[in-house]
Amino acid sequence: MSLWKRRLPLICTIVFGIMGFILQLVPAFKSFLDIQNQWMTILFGFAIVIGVASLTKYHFKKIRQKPEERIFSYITFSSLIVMAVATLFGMKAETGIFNALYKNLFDYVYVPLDATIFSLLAFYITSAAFRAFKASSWLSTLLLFAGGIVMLGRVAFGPLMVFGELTQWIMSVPTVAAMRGIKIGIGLGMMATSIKIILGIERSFLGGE
Amino acid sequence: MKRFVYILVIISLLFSAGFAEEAENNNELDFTPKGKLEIKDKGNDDGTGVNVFFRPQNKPEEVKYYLLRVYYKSVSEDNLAAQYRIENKDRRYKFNVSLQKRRKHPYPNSRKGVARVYVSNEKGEAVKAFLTESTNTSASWFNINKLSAFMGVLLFLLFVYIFIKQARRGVEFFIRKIPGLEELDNAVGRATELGKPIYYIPGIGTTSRIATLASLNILAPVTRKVAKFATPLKVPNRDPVVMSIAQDVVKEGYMAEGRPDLFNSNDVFFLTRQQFAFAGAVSGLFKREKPGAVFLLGKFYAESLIFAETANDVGAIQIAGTDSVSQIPFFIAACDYTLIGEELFAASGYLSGDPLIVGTMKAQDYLKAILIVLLFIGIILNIFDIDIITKYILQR
Amino acid sequence: MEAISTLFWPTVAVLLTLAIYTFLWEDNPIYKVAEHIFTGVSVGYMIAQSWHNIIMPKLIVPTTNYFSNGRYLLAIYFIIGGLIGLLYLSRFSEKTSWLSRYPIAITVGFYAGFKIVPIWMTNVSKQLNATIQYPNGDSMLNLKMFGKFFDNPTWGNFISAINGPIIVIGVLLVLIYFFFSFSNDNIVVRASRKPALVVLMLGFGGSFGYTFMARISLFIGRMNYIFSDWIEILTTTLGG
Repeated sequence: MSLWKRRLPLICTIVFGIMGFILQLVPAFKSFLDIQNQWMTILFGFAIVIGVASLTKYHFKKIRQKPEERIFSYITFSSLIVMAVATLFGMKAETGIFNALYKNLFDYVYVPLDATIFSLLAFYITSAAFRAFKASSWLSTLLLFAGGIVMLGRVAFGPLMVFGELTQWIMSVPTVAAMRGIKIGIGLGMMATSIKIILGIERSFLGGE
Repeated sequence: MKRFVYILVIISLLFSAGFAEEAENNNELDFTPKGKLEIKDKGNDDGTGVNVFFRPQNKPEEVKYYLLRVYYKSVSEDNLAAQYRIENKDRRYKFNVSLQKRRKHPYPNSRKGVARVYVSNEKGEAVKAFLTESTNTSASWFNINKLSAFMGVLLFLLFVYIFIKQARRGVEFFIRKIPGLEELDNAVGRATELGKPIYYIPGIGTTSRIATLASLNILAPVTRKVAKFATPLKVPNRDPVVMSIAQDVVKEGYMAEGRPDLFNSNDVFFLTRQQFAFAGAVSGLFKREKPGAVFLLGKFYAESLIFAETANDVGAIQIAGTDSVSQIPFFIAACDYTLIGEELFAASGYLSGDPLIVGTMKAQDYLKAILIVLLFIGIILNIFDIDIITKYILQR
Repeated sequence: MEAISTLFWPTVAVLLTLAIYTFLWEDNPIYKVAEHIFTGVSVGYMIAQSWHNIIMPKLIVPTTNYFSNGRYLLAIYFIIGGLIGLLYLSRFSEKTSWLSRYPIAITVGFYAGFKIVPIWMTNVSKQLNATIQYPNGDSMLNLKMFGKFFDNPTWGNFISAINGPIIVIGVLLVLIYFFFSFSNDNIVVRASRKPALVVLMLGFGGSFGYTFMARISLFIGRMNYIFSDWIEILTTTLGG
């Protein structure tokens, strides 16, 4: 049984890992690469089903455990079904009720919610900066010091232009050096992780027996 | 001498051919269209790329527009790969053409490209063809621009082999302390003391992101630590595939500690795939369940700070780590401990202590040391304008 | 009646926006409603997207095309892909869930291998190259720049001469800082520790500050929607 449950999946990892590596290096296989890329997305196509199943299970359990909060689960499912139906039938349609519903839901529910949660960052970035400022460590003070100069420099005018110049220097010298050093390290770390996976050294993703 | 004669012959043939063609259409144009057309295999590709060069030799008053058409296989309407309208500005034009572009067929079955230049009118129509050149292309079996990657991998494998062999013999490697990971036990312990759950967010990346895989590798030792204290561990996910893997990893972790009873597949759950819907839902969970420790490890984008700040708001210890360089500053500012950059990828070896994985960490260090030496050599050579390193080894 | 319909959806958007902002004060049922609506809507959208963007154009359409073109091998390959993808559904039962390891193993393996070369090129090779030379091919340790400074010792010339060397030293410090297998007592590691942290923190600070204004403008954008766009719709529909 171990063959089917562990060894064969591991062989799949190794074979497809080597395939991916070779496809990058051999230009002659480009047309196969295009096919393979398409093929890989097919695998994802059905994964959404288990996602939805997990969400459903989660909410059913919640309804059982906290019946007073079941209204939120009902909200989730009704909006899920309405949006799924509207998008399925309305996205590719030019007109019709589904298309109108899809468009309105997308433009006036999906997009504003997305943009608003994103905009919460305006508050969070301020509070994070404030906290870093209060922290006693010289490191976070230094981080905030550089950050403060750049914040000022981005909006500087007139006599404050010195901040503008300092900003330019910070962004083009220390930031470049730090980011570059980190990128190189990350690159090597990712490469090592990939190779560990392909060699079968790291296989926790395959689970147990 | 021989070569000179050949060239003379070719030139005279070309000229006569040009005149012959011109003679046919002489009544339409009152000048001789002239130019130099070259088509060359681009090389280092799958045999579908050609470079086409055209140098008009008519004055702009004579010919204002040319039309360049590139075909694959042969000149025919169906085989047209690309066409360009060229305004005669008395310079050399270069075009990168893919012979595959307009083809419905996915496989290249022709290895020949034909370029033809026409005199064109104001409307952009072809009036008269006057130059045709063709070339055979070939697919290459190795992309020479990526040689350094191949060498890097080979070198790394060599080091891995050496150190794993040593590790198997029982040599113990030193690994320096990584502060964020040292705190892991404390974080788990504190959450247990407070009787609060632990949240582990494996980022918002899919399995195609190496950082996500690194995070799932860390989840294994984290689960084992959590299992010892029997503290609830929750793993919300943005990707169903990552969720599946995380479920298996957590289950395996509990089993390894002899606590399969603690595993509940509902604790490793899927929320939504939308970035900010996920961020909003997770921060809602943070506020309601008030976790004692929050792990944010994996691929994060702009929403990183939403997690970090709400977790801080409810008093959780946050241990974060990501490979997104633009998000690391936010984690450093907002979180208690941050794994910077490559520490994230080293964490699984650090935590598990598996000699094989530690061996690869050592190999990674050696590869890095070699790259530093190459960097030095490159810089010194570059001062003397020798670009051997930048051109062949560390390509742009 | 028409006034209501033009006003309805933008008002929904405004209410949802405000509902999200209530979270900043504390968690509350209004936020919870908005959060759950968003979860539902986004998952619903994703289901339809999977159909419209993956199942149809990547699986069904190409497979039928390949069949009709007589490219049976490719068609079968795509069907196999679909079948392997279906193995994810084995997770519905404890007993069969191990079958889902196949699509997982293939996905993880393929992308691990596929990413190695691009990661090396963009993260390692390209970055090291850029530490040796500027994009125009000039050396980072450009002696000409120093020559220029000695000919004409101005502040600007000095800065432009030392910027390159500072970047090189900064990159080296950061690289050394992250070595794992050297003891903290190692003289090189110990000496480079603090300067490396200075470079890192200055760099992170710069990145932090640079994003700050962009984040603030997101909030301004939302406020604009309410106080300019929506108010305008409101006054025109109610007024006219």
